[in-house]
Amino acid sequence: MMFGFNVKKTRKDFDVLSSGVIYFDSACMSLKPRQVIGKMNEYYEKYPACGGRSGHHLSKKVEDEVDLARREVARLLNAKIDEVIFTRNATESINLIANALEWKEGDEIIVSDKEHNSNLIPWLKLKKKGVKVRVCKSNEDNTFNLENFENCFGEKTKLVAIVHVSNLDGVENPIGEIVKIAHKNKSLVLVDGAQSFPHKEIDVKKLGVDFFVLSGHKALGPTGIGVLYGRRDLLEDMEQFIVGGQTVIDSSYEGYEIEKLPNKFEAGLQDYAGIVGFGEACRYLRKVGLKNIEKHLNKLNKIVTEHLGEEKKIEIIGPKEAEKRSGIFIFNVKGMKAHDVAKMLDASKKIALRSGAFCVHSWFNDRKIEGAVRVSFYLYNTEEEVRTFVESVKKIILLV
Amino acid sequence: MVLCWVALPVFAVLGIFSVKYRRLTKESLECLFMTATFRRCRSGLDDRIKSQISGKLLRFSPKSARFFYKNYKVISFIILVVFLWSTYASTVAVYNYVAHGNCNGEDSNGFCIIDVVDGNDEVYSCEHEEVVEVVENNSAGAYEPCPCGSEG
Repeated sequence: MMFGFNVKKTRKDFDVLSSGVIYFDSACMSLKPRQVIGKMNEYYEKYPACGGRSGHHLSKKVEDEVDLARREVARLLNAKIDEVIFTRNATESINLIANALEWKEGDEIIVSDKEHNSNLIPWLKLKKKGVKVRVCKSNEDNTFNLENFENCFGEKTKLVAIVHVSNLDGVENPIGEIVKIAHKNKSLVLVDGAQSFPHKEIDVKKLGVDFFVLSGHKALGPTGIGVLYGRRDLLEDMEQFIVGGQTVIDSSYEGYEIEKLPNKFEAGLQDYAGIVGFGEACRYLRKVGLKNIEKHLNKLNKIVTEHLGEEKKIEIIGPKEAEKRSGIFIFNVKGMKAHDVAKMLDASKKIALRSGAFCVHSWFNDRKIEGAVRVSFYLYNTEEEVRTFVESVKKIILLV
Repeated sequence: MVLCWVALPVFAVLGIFSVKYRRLTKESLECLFMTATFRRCRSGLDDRIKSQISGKLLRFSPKSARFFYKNYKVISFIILVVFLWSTYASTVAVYNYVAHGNCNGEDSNGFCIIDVVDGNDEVYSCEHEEVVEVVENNSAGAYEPCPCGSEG
């Protein structure tokens, strides 16, 4: 037990765990504690009104709660409150940037070779406008290659769009170094923090990033809520993406006056239940302590790596060292399809995990690997669960 | 791929009651079509069935799971043969019943589960004397007496 963090006590907040499921798919979707669900219910039961429009007390309550949630997110990111834009998810946040930045023919974007489709497709789509996408290759063990990265820059490199912690193998990219190099080359940096935000302390000011995106559903929050952090000066200068209600102060038949941040980018009626739920999730994470979560995940990953890393029939994707893979363990059983392994674990011990390409098809296709099995831990997973998983995998290996 | 052929009618019947099986029926149908046209079945339904059963077996007997996993294709083939044979037998029986009123064919006295009229659906036992009496007192007199008779 770490100070302020007790796994057994934490697990009581997650009702679904009482069904006996061993949930190792948190990189896709985390479970939600009852506090988050309660907060969302509170919105629907006590103040189910629209914020920012009507003047009655229920509407004011919504505004206050949304404001509190925004403050919670800003606090976890060390951002200013109006630099936090609520979106549907990290994907939408990236699309917002891709559509709101001004692109000229010949502009270049650098991505890594391990980007989630959400941080690749929006940039590939810009090829139609004459924008070039350069892919920076990783090292053999999937760690980031700073030398390759530096060589990727051209005169017209406008943006570096890079993942912080990879959803493929849990490897953390050196964002501090990346930002220094990018800024030296007069490029902006967008960081996909969907996997890092739930597991480690983030300080956007210290990292020096220009944009940081995340999804609520991977950080104990509800589905359908995400965040775009952007440097205030950049957001103020940027064009709007989706426009409509809430994004303007006034309009006439001839034109409109754009709202201030963050409303400028939050068009239409918002997912208030999702926002207040995510605010509660951030509060929960803050109370548990992100450092505690990070330590816990490393500990679990070490156990599984120690027990399965030496197995001859197991191929680990990414670095061999557990501490380099955050809370993710990705592997293949030689001679067996990844989907078969995942299905058997589910059928035999109710172990829920993911198999396939994890939306990083480009990486798998490039290496001609069909897929893999991914185990992703979170704060509610126990050492006992990890041991059950290890035993089950060892039994499955015997089938081949 | 072989198991898709067996799965199709099973899932089709279950699909009447559950949406989940309707999706599986569609997959089986697609798989059957691919196999029939000498192409590779892409739905992965076979693999999923294999893994699901192997996983369940792992819980109780890793040896049985290993046997099933290793010999899945042979087992599927046997199931397919049994399935085809039973389909053939059922079709003949239904034809006989419609054509001759007895599922075993014309002038047959053998057991027939759907032949209610002629009494061929009765199961005789030598252990109960009452049944023996029914057989002996049967007015139709068309049945052979129970071989063990009253000694049964």
